[in-house]
Amino acid sequence: MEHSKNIYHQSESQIQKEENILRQAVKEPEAFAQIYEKYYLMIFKFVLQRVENEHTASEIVSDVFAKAIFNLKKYKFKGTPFSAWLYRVAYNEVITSFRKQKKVRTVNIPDSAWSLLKNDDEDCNDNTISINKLKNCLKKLKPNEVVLIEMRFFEDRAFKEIGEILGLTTENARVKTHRALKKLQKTFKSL
Amino acid sequence: MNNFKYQNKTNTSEEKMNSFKDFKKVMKRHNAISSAYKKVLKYSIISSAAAGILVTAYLLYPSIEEPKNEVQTSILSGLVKKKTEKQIQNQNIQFNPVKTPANPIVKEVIKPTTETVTSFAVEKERMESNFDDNTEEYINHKELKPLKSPSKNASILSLEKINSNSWYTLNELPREETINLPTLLVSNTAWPKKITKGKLIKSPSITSVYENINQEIPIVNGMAYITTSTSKNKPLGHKLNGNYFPPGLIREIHKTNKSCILLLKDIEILIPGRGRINIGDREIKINTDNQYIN
Repeated sequence: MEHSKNIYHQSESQIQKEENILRQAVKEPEAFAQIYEKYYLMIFKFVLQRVENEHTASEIVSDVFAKAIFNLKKYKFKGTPFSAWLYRVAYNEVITSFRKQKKVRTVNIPDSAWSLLKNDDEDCNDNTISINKLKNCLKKLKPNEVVLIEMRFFEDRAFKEIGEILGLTTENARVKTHRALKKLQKTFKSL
Repeated sequence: MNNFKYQNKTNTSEEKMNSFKDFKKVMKRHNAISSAYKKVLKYSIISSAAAGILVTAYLLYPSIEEPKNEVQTSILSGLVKKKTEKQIQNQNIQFNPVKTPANPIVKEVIKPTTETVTSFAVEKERMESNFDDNTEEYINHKELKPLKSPSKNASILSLEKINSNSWYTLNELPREETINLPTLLVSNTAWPKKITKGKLIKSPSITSVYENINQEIPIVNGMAYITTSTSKNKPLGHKLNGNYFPPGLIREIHKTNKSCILLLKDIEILIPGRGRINIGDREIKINTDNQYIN
């Protein structure tokens, strides 16, 4: 996650430089290659988190960048980095891809995720059992709640970033994520 | 509840991720998207421009609808031409038209229908010369035998008679088709061609009946005109609704003279199970000669 965080939190001069490239890319799409190089891995990881395998992810990532170039003239700089806009394009593209292929959305759970449900007084050593329990608990949440949990705890994103990707305010993203986590923990206890 | 698929995350190395990196592929997809978009944009601009022109033209020249009749005539002539060409090819019979109309539009319509018009004209001629009774039912069928009868599938359109001297177009059903319909009775006369003035006044009724089962079929729509076959001005029409002539029509019948005709246009009947059916027009000569009164 370090890599994406470094890209997301940029200085003003970096953002300005990026904007110049984007302006150029509107006229000459080939100029977008620099942006592609910069954000490729970040977007690939984002998409890979939501699909079954790398091949599907690579196809979606190509579509994401192609659509980003096509819609570049619609992008307006509002003080946030270009990556936030690119994430939104990627998020929508993932949803569109699942809808087109009539496939079910995938959630990749990292090994460390079981700690979400661990209470301080409990000593849970069996990782596999906890992961299975977590899957069952996640199934009982609403889709948008799963998305929030996924972004915050599985991808370790900042609330500001989550808000920008999902079109929410930072505070709203924080509150909703907190509620989703509480619901998840409650479900876990009841199991 | 959600139906997401949950799986354990597999660690993918950055080298593997980078192996999928291909900016050329991205550019190829971008070109495909933009060319498709341009195509759609092009067609939408063309269609909206065309629609705009049409709307403007319609707003500027609202009377542009007038040529509708010509289009109908050309369609009609095309249909009739096809039909008669087929019939003539099949039967190898040559007919000489009885009359050639002066009006070019009428000529266009009637010329290919030589066969139909010939029989129609001859039939009418015979009916008028050998008229012994008031109804068409009494026409001697033996006399009509050598005539070429209209085809079984002949529609109202195929027998459309355009009278170039008068204001109206007559769409009369052929005999074959009237057999399947309930009998039209005008002043208690079945499918009349000629009725005496006295009879019209004494029993001013119009109805249709299935005679075999004695079921009356209501007439739900239609217009009646008192006119002459040479009149070029459309007279005031009387709407038919019900079994009796409207009072205005009866008043006009009283005023009729020798050359007058009772023209029934677009008579609609309501047959149970079949709905409203247009049985076409009927031209009825009003006979004012006292000799015909029984």
